[in-house]
Amino acid sequence: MPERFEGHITPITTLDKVAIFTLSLLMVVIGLFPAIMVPLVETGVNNILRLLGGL
Amino acid sequence: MNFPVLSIIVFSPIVAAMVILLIPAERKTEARGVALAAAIFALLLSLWAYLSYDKAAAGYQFMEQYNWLPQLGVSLHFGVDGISAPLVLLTGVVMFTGVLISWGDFGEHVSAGIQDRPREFFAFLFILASGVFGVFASLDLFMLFFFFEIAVFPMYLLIVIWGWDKTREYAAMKLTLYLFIGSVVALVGALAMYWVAGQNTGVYTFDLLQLEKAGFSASFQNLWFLPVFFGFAVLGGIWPFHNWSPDGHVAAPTAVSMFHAGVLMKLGAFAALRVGIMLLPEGAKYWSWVIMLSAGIAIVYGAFIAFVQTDLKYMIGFSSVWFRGRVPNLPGRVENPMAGGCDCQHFHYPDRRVRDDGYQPRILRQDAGKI
Repeated sequence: MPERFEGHITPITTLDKVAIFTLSLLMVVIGLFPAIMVPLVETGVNNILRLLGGL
Repeated sequence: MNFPVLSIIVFSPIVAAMVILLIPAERKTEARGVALAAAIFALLLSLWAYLSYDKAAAGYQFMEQYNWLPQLGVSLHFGVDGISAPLVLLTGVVMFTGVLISWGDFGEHVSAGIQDRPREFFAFLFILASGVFGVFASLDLFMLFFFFEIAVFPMYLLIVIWGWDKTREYAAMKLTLYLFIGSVVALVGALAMYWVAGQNTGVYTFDLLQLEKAGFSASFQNLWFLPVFFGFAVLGGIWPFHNWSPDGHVAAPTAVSMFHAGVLMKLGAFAALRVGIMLLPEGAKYWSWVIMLSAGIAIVYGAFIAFVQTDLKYMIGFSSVWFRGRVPNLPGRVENPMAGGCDCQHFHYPDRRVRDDGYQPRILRQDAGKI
């Protein structure tokens, strides 16, 4: 590690790993299976599009 | 299952904050434990609400309404639709991961979490979370605004006390001034809508569902759309009112930065959408070119500025400005069905949007915060 970072970067902890894993897992799952979220969001967006005359 | 899930989601962080504040200051582990338990509870409830949402029925679900100030037409009215339900879940996730990241002392490691006054930190963080939940769930304009302010105020304290000591005071004050001024402008517009809706219908109410049917004239909508939209969208980092955001990202502690990027900026865009576009659609169509121009400049400008940054957190902050430019493009382009169809992909493929703005930058900020 470059000397200028010594003392500034702390080791990663288990809780950090859990947090990063949680976020990454959600990202990957939604990316691979967009159907988890797309139909739901569509229902909300269609309402807005109707108001704006885009549907 | 007929139980007030949204009320519990909205108010449980505030209750948890009060419980945490009752814990003696020296009992840091207990305070962290209560925070984690409350975060898990909110996450599970928001996940349950998300999974229980009936896509076939669509519309607002899990509705609850309790009179608050009936003389003024203010009620505690909660409900989520297809846009706010995922955002509630997102807030739950960020709350949970934010608590983990902020844990602080961890055995022989001293992590980059919060070691100093974790009790107060988590209390303010949960008040912020409660405000965010409230905005996403609220169907009453007054309460939406109320929760909007609750979400803004703790940011100042979280940044100025636990932020990076070189710029925290400057960044916190700048952030607060921008957001409060924006919200004052939006408040004036909201009160105008309340007043005119009351004159049109004879019923003075802040209820969003009733305001949607208030029959605002085209001239009224054209006049008030910009103040209302931009007033709320300041929190969304819309150009040219984005400048508070990168400084806020840099100065904020990691969990606050995660909230900032992952949830708070969505809050601004959501409020602009819910209040500006859904209540004043004619105004949205009339001023769509302004939104597109602002968004287009943010996209180009944000990208170029992000390129030249040498500080990782500033780079992430300005890349957020870049991405925030993509979000308002949707209402700006909807008049052209082709363009609207293409841009709807931001919503039709929320995985990309969630990846690009919801989770990925949050992970980047988390990692940047560790450095």
